[in-house]
Amino acid sequence: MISPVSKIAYCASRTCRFRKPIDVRALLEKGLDELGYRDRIGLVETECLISCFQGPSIMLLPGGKVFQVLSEERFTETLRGLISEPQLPTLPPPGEPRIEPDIPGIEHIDFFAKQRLIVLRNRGHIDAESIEEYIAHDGYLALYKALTAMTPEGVIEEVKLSGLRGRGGAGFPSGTKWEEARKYATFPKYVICNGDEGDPGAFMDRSLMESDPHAVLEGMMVCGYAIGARQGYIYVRAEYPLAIQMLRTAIDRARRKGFLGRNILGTGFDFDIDIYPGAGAFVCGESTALMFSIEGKRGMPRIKPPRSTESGLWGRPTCLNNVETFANIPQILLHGGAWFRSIGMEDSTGTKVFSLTGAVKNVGLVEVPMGTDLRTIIFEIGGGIRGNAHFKAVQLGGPSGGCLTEQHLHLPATFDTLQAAGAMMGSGGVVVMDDTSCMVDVARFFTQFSVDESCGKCVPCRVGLKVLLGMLEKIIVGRGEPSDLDRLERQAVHIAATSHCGLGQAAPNPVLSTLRYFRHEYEAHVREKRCPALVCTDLIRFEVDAEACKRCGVCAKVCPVEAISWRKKEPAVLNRDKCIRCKACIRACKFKAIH
Amino acid sequence: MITLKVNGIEVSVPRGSTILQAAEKAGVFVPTLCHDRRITPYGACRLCVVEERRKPGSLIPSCFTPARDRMEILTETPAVLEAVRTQLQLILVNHPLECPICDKAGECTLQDLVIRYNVTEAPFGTEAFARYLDRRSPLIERDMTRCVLCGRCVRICGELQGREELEFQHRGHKMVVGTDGGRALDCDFCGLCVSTCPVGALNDKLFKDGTRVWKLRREPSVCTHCGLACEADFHLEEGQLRRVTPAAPTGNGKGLLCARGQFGWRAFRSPSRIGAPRIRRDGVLHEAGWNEAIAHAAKALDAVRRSHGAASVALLTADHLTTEEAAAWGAFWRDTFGGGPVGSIQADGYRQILETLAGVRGARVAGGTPRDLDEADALVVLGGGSAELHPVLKPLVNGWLRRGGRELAVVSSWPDALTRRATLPLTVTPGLVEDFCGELLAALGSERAGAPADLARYGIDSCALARLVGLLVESRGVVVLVAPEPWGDNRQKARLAAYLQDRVRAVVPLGGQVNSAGAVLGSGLVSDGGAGNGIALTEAIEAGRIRALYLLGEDPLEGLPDPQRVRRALERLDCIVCQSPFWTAVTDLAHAVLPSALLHEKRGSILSLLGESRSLRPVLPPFGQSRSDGEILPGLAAALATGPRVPSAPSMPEPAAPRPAATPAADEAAMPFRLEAVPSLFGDGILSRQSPDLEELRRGLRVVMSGEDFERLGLAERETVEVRTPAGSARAEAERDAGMLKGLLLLRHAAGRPAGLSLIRQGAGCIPADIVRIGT
Repeated sequence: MISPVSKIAYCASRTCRFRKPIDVRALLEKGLDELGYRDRIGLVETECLISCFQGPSIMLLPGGKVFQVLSEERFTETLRGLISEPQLPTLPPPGEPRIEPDIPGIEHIDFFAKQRLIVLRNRGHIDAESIEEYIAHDGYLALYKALTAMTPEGVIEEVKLSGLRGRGGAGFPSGTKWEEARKYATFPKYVICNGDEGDPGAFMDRSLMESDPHAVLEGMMVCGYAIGARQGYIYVRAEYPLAIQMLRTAIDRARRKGFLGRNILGTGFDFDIDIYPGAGAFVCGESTALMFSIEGKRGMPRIKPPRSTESGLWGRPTCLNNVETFANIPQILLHGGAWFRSIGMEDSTGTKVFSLTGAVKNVGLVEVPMGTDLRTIIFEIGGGIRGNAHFKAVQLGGPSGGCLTEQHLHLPATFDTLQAAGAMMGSGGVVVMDDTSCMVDVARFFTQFSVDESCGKCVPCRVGLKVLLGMLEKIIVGRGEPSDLDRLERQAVHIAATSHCGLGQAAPNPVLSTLRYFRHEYEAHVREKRCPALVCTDLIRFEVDAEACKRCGVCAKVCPVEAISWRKKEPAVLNRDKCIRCKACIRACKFKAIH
Repeated sequence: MITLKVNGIEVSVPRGSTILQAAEKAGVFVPTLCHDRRITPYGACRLCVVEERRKPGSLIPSCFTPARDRMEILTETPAVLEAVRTQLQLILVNHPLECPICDKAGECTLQDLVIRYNVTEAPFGTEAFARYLDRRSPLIERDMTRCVLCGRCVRICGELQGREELEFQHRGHKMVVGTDGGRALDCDFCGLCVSTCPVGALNDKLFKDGTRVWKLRREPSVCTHCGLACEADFHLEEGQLRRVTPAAPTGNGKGLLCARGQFGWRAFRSPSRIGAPRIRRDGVLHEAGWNEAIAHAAKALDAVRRSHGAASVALLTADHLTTEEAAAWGAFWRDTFGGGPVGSIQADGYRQILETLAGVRGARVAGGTPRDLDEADALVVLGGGSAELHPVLKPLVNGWLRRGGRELAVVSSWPDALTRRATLPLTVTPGLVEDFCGELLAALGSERAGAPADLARYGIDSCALARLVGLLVESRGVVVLVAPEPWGDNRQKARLAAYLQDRVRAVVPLGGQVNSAGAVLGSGLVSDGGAGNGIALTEAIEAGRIRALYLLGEDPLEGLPDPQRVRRALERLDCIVCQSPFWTAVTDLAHAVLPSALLHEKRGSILSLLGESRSLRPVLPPFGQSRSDGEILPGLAAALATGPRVPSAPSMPEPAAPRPAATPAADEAAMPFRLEAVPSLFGDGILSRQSPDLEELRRGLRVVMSGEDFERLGLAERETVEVRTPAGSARAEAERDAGMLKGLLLLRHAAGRPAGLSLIRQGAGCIPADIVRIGT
C-alpha cells in the first residue's frame, strides 16, 4: 500500500494539550500500526501548527492540510481515509462529523491566508531536531552563498540594502550595526543573539528557537562572517528550557555536519556558538546588561559611549541582534536585499511576527508584512473579539509599549507610526483588550511589572516608578484627587526623560498612553470614584440594578458566601455586609445589572 | 581640542572629555551625586542632566556624555531645574532625614543640593524602609537606611581597590549595597568607600558621634605611614586631631589613602609616647631635663668614641626625619663619628636598592614619578608584597589597568595583591626570587637573552619568561617596581634594577619609610657599613666592633629576626641612646631616652618614593617635652664637638653575605612547609605598630596557607596553631587563601612581635616550617 502522505506532523505544545487532553502521538502511532504504515509514514513532533485556536491538530505532509483531532473514537478509520486519499479535502474530519462539507485548506483560512511567512516559514513544516530537513528547505544555503560568493562587505551591503531593522524593539538598522562592528580592528569579536524575551504576552522568539533553531544559527554565522567574529553566544532565558534544548541539539548537529567549528564548508571560516541561559531578569534583555550577565556580573545597563559595537562583551566589539533579526538574514541573502525591501513599507521593510493574545478569537503568532494595519491583524487574522464584547484597546510592545484605541486601527504597523502614536513595536506583543479591561488597572499592571523588573540603578526608574505605582494604586482604591492626574503625567514624563536605559525610558509608556487616550476613565476613577469596566474592586458599589435585572438568579447561584438573596420573579438583593467583593456575580450576570 | 559653550561661556577641552568636565572647566556648577572623579562615570543619580540649545526638551546626562564640538550646553533651563528638583524629591523618598544625628551633616552632598535647589517639600511622601545597620565591622559602620544607592562605594572598591567587597544586592527598589551573605567587612579597610560616600551611610567609626563637622579645621598634610607619603587632610577640633581623610582628588592629587593613613592616626597620641627625657642611673631610667639628658648621652658616646674610635658608634634611623634634619644629622655624623656605620632596619632593602642605583649612575637618581606610573606602557614588579608595603599602589595600578595599561608582570613567590591583578604573573619557587633576579640579569646582560639556565628550579614556564624578557628588552615604556624582601637579601634585585635603570622608562625601588628617599637622595643619612643589615649588625656587636648605638626612632629588638640573640648583643653595648617618639622594647636597654617629635609636629620637607616633594608644617603640638630631631641636634653636636678628634678606625670589612644559622638537617627535613615572612598590609613601620586600630585589624600573628593544606590539617577558621621552624616556634592564627601554592606558609604581622620574629632568620628568604595543632 502506497500512501501519498509521507509524514504527519502533530502539535505537542501545551496549548493544544490544554484544549483537549488527547495524546495525539500515541493515537497516531496506534493508528499507523494498525494500518501497517508505521515504518512508512514518519511522525514529526512540532511545537505549533499556528492554529492554536483549533488544536489539537495534525498536518499531513506533503500538502500541509491541517486537521483537528476532536475525539479518540474511530480515529484509526478516519486516519485510514485520510492517508489513502489526502488530496481530496472533502473528507470528514477525524472524530465527529462536521457541519461544513468542506474542510478548507490552509490557504482559505484568513488566519493563514493574510500572513506572509519569511521567518516562520519552516515552522511546523520541518522537524526542528533534524538538520537534514532544514538543509532540504534551503538551509545553510545562504551561509554557503556568503562564504563562497560574497565578501564580508558584500554581505553587509546586502543587509543594508534590505533595510532590515532590529526586531528587538528599538528598530536600529542591522546593516549599519554590522558595518560599525566590522570597522573596529580589535579581536576577538563576538556575535550575540538576544533570546531573553521577557515581555508579557510575547513568545515569537521562543517559538522560533524551538521550531527553527538552525535559521537563527545560520543568521549568526553570516553575521560572524560579516563582522569578523569567530564566536557567538545565544542568551536565552532559563524559563525556555525547550528552546535551550532545541538550540543545543541544533548546535550539536551543526557541529557534526561541519557548519560550526573550524574551516566551515572548507572555506577557512571558523565560527562556534555557545548558549548562555539567563537567570530571569527582564533587564538582561537590555544589550549592555545582557553582556554583563554573560560576563558573570550583575545585569545592569552601563553608560554609553562606547557602543557595544566598539566595546561590548569583555570589552570587545560585539554585534548583538534579536532572534527574529537573525532568522531573517538567511532569506535576505538567498533572495537578495531588494526582494526583502519590496516587502513591507519604505522605512520598515520585511515582515514582523506579532504574538497576538488577549481578547481575540484567534490567538497565536502572526507574521505579516510591515505596514499591515492593526485592523487586519486584529479583526481579519485574529478573527475579532472573543465573546460578545467590544474592542476597547490594543496594547503594543509589552510593558514598554502603549495602549491604542479604535481610532488607531487604521495605522500601519511600522516602527515609526507606532512610536508616533504613543505605542511601540517593541518585540511585537499585541494584547487585545475588550471592554472588560480597566485602563487604569492595565497601566497599574504594567507599571507593577516595571517596578519589579527595574534593576535599581538610576533614581527615576528605581524610585520614580515606585512613586508612579503608588499614585495609580491610590487612584484604583478611590483615594485619587483630580490634581493627581497632572502629577501622574508630570512624573511619567520625568521618568521617561531622565532614565538611563530603554527600560526606564519606556516604562511610563503604558501610563502616558492610557492617560492620553483614556483620560475619561481616569477621570471617572478620580472624580466619580467609579470604575467603568468594573475591574477596580474598591470602586464597585455592588448593587443590583433592579431595572436591568432580569430576575434570572444566576448571581445568587454563583455567590460563594450567599450574600445575594433571590426569589423567583423578583430582582436579586445583595447584602453588602456579607459580600466579599469577589466579583463572581458581576462576571456571571449577562445583563450587567450589578455594578 | 574641541570648543563648546556652557551657559554661554566658551571653553576648549580635549576630545573625549565629558560635558561635565567642560562645565567644570567653564566654572559652571552641575549637581552630581554618583560622580567621583577617581572612578569611571556611572550615570545613576541623573542629577547632572543638561540641555543642548539646539535640542530643547531632551535632557542629557552630562557626567558621561562626551562633549562635541560647537555644542551649546545650558544647565539652568526650566526643564533642567525641574528635573533636578524632581530627582532630589525622589531621592528623599527613601532617605531618612536624620541630619541632627548624622555625622555627614554639614558636608553631605545631598544636603547641600537640597538646600541649593530649594527642595522644601516632599510631594511624593517619604518611605524610609529600614535596611540593615552593620555595627560589627571594625572601623567602618554601614547604615544602609541612609544609602542613596549611588554605587560609589561599590565602584571604588571594585575599580580601584580591586576587592569587590561591597556589591549591589536585590533589584529595583529593594536594591541594597551589601557584602556576600551579609557578613561583617573583611577587607583592606582602605576607607575609600567611606571617603566617597556622599551621604552618611558609610561612617568612620573613629569619628562617629564625636563632634560636628563644622567645628573642624582642615589642615592639608601628609600621611607618614609609608614612603608614598600620600597627601591627607587632617581635621582638627581645637588642636585635637579628629580624623584623617584623603586629600580632595583635584589637580594632580590622586585622592587615595589606605587603612594606615585613614585609620592609623591614633598612633600619634598613643599611650607609649615619651613625654620627657630619661637617663639611666644605677640601672634605672630617671626623668631628667633636656640639657642633663643630652649631656648624659654625649658623655657616654664620647667615652666610647675615645676608647674604641668613632667607627664603633653606629646610627640607625627609622627615616622619620625631614630632609633638612637628615642632612644636618648626616653632616653631624660624618663630622663627629666619621666612619661610624649608618643604616635603617625598616628601610634596609629600599636603601640597598636605591643606593645601588645611585652608585651606578654616580649622581642623584630619582625613581619614577607618578606620571611615569600613569603613562607606563607596562609595569614589571620584581619581588612580592609591593602593594602590601605601599597599599595605595594597588588603587594606582588598578586605575592604570582600567585606563588601558597593557601588561602587569609580577615576579613573586607568593600571591600578593598585585599578582592577583597581573596579566603576567610569574610565581617563582619560594625563596628563589633573589636568585631568579640574578639569573634574569645574567640572561639580559649576555647575548643569549631569554635563556636562564634551569627554569624548572624556579617553577617558571618558558613562555611567561619570554614575555617578561621581551618586556624588559624591547620596551622603553616599561616602569619597573622593585620590592625588597623584608628580612631577605636584596643585592641581586638591586643589581638588576641598576642594570635596567637606563634601559626602561623608570625604576622605582619600594619599601622605603616615609622619608627614606629624602634621607638618601638629599645626601644626608646614606647607609654605610651595613648597619641596617641585621645579621651583620649583630655580628659586629658580638665581635666588639660596634660598642654604641644611636637610634633615631629605630628599634632593632622589634625589627630584627632572632630577638633573643639581638637582645644579648645589645646588652653587651656600652651605650644605647634612644631618640624616639615611642617607648618600644629597646628603650628598656637605653642609657638615655630623648623624646623626639613626630613628623606632624615638625616643619620641613620630605620626598616621597615617587619623587614628589611635600612640605610639612606642624599640624599637632609637640607631645609633652618632646623636641624635633633637628632641635635636639645642636645641643648634642655642641656637647660632642669639644672632644678631641680621634682618627677613624680602619673601615670595617665588607659584611659577609648573610648566611642562615646552622641547624640540624634532620629537623628541617621533617618539616613539610616553607615559611615566608611577608609585609603586613596594615603596616610594619614603627608608627603603624603604635596604632591600636591597625592592631585590631592585624589580629596578631597570622599564618596563611593554601585551602588544601588548611583542610588536610583539619583546621577550623581562625584556629590558633603552633608554627615551628628550625629557628623557633610561635602561636599564630591560621588563615586560608585559595590563591596560595600548596606547601607554602606566609607569616603576617611578624614585625614588632618577638614571637613572630623568633620564627624567621635574616637573609633566609624562606625557611622550613611545620604546623602543629594545639593540644595534639
